Amino acid sequence: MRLRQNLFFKMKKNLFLSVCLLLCGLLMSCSNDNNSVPEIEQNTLSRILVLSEGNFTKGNSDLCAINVESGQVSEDVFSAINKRPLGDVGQSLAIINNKIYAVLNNSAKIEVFDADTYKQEATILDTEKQISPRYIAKLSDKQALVTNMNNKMILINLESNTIEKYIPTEGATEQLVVVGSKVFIASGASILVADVNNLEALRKIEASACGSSKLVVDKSNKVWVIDPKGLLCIDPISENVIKTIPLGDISITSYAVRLETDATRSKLYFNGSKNNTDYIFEVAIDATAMPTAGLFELKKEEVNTLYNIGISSEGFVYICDALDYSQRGLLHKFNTKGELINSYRVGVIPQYILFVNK
Amino acid sequence: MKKIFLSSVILWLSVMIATGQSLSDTTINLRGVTVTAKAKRVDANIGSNTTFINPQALEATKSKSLSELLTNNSLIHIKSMAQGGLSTSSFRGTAANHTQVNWNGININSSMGGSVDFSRIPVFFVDDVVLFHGNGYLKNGTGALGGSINLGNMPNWTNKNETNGFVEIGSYETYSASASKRFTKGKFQSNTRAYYTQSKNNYRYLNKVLQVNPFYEHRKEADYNMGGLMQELYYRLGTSQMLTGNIWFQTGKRSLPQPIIVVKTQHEEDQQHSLRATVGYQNIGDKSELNIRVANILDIFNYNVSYDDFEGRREHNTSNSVVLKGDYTYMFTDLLKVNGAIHLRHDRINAENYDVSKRTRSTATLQVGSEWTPIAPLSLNLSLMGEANNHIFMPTFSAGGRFALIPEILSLKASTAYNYHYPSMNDLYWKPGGNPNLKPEQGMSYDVSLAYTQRFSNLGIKANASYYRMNIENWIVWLPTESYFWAPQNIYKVLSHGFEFSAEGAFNIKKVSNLLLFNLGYTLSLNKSNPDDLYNKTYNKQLPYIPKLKANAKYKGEFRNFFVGYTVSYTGVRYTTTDHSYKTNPYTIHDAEAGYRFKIHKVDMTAKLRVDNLFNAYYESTQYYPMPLRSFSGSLLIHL
Repeated sequence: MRLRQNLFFKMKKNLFLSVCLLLCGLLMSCSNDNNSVPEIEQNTLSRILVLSEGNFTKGNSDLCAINVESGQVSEDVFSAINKRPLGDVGQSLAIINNKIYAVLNNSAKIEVFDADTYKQEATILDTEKQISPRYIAKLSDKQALVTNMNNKMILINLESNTIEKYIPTEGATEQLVVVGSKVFIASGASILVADVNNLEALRKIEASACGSSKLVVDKSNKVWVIDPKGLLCIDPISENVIKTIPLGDISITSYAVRLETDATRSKLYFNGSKNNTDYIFEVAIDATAMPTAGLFELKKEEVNTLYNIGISSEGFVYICDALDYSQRGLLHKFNTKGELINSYRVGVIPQYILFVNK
Repeated sequence: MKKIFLSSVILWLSVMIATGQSLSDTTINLRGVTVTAKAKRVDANIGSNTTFINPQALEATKSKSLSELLTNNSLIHIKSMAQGGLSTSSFRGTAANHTQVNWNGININSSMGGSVDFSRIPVFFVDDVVLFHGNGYLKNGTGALGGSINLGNMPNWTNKNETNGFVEIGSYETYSASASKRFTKGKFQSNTRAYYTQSKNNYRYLNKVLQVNPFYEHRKEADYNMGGLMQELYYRLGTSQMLTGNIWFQTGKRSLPQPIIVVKTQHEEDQQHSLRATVGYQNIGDKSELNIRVANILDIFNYNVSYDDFEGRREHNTSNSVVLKGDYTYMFTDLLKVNGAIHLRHDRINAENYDVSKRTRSTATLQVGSEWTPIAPLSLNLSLMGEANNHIFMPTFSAGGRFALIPEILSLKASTAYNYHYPSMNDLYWKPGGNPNLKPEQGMSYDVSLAYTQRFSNLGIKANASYYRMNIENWIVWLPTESYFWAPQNIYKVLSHGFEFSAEGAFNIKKVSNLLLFNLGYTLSLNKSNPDDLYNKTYNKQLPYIPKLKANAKYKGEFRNFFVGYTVSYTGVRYTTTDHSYKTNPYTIHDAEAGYRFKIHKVDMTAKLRVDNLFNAYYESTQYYPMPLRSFSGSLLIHL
């Protein structure tokens, strides 16, 4: 009897130990999920590059590439190719010397990677100085200028991909554009102007570009900005506002308005509202007044949260839609009649559109 | 200067603590119902899962915070920003403020944000940690959609005079020390505890995300310190009555490091000071039990941010809560007990970050319940509760039953409950974004468990397996708005369901006593909102930062005066966006410890060496907030 009890106890104990060992084994055998690599089109076809801002401090900014012909979206091409995230709060990008320069605002860096293969080449950052980069423009084959929220612009050496120097400014600087030998920079209530060879000598024009709206260059090489007063045209030679198209009964939200031009650079596009209805407006550069009607209405069921706009060379209006900011957003493609042609799933909070025409 | 101060503290503790005996119980230690007086109470969680954290697990993490204790010894997922950093919970797939934490029966969740930072609760300050899984335990009030945690202090009339303490030195200039002194004279008992820890917390890791070439760097601006003082007073009035008084002062200051994908452009720091005081009266008669408690909870939060190039800002917020609780149970027969409870609370917030600097909230809760045993193997419980919260009335209930399939060994439990969670004061009034029109989150839950406990001559086994399911409506989520600030909205419908398994086994093999603890949880916490929205890719997806799979196992073995411990914990993949586009990697972490007990001049001492993250794994609890790689600590525990 005693032997049977001991045997029973041993069996119980062995069973218990076996179960525990099995559970521990299961626990330790748990491994990482396989990270499948999406198929990336590394090509030279016409593409639409969409930089997503991502969620603040979450490091999920990335770049999506849309094949214009097939409509295929290559998601998160930077991280897929380079096996690391692009950064935090993607703000803008530019292609300079066949390299993509992606400006990551909260990572305080500029990632440089090949425009066709997306393979990383350099990271431009300064861990000692506080910078908050916004937009980049090529000044020459050797230099590019980056605007910065922290009262100093950043001059980049494109050969070494390093910071060459800082150019102090009175306030934050935003969008910028190069016209001939001059660079025009949005800065608060002013547009700053400098010669590309003498960036320290900054001059001011009394005009402002709302929020993060672009400075647009028309076919006559005039610079347009959208100001709370309306569309202002700046002559780059005299550095004066030479024309204003008042907004009239169109209302805009200063931080949310975006300005674009088409491939012919003869029309301007912006988002605004009239009679409590949101529209995309189209204005010819030779117009003297705003159109009486919007180009097309932005229906809430089609565009939830407009974040940016872009006009392709074919004349399609592309709209970044951030949806609820917590999931991948959309890039909607509209024709000028306002018909929704397609919607592409891109990154979280799509922020910046760049058309690459080959 | 700090080192000199700490050395002085350590020296003082070493001198103060003289003699004693071993801290750890070397015998088989399975937790059971040991306080017969509590048997009079209505078991309001009779049909659901209740976990008593094993005392040996408490002992092993005595120098740590509740964050480490729960991470390695429970099914609660702790989302941490590394040691010393903010640590919040997800209980059964719910949000941080859906876990209610009570200290000696008084809720200590922040009156502002609604959650608890577990990194700021030293394990040294608690004697008892009990987890009530699910939302059915209405004794802990409303709001515990995921579950609640009771932290208890208790008198010890057996060891009437004792002194405990430890000193610990660890990697990254981490120093901790504590001491407690229990003193008893006649019917009066006093227990005083002090705790202090500080760390430079500058651990080294490989940053693979910021730039083209990976590089090693040290964690910057992650230093922290935390200290506390607790005084407990107990006075027995005859054999059935007792007066209690507890005061807990806690203070802490820490720098807030940035995620490693961000180049640091600001310097952040937060400070929290808390003063919690409670006075209670307990009367346990032959047929009844009465508990009355009043409390005052004061929390002061300071947040400072500064920049190198321009001016920063300071924020100062204070909350003060006054609580009155009364609870009476009457036992008509051994088979029928009834219970009634009242809970009044008044919160007053003085916040720079609110739309109006002073905001108040008054809550009145009335609860009745009963436990009935209609036939020998079956016990039933029903609780009804109504709560008025700033004049909004919400009723709720819970019902459960336990059926003994094999008396004293195997029982089947089931419960259902309706519970709700009021928006936090931050949800309502934070500036910018606060939304005063928010509705309470609410939902039904269902729970079924199989509980097994058996003792053999040299082996004890305890196991519990549960399945739960809850639907929560009006789940509050903070989302960015068109005005570029975040605001809370009653957005989500959530279905959270899952499986929990936990087991404890204690057995002796020759002269080696062994303890094994195991927990495994599988949680599906799914967003069920907007199924018809074609653009919405979040439907039926797991909520961010809630792992589906979590498991941990602990072994402790003792041979004569030697002991070893080994813990392995696994945390599954956590998605960081609502559509599962981005995620952070799962991780398995191994910790080991070994120690030796010895006696010097009648003082029982334990010397212990501990290695955390034994295999030097790079891992992140919160994405881009690296946790420390392999780290070491050595401690000396003293009992007298």
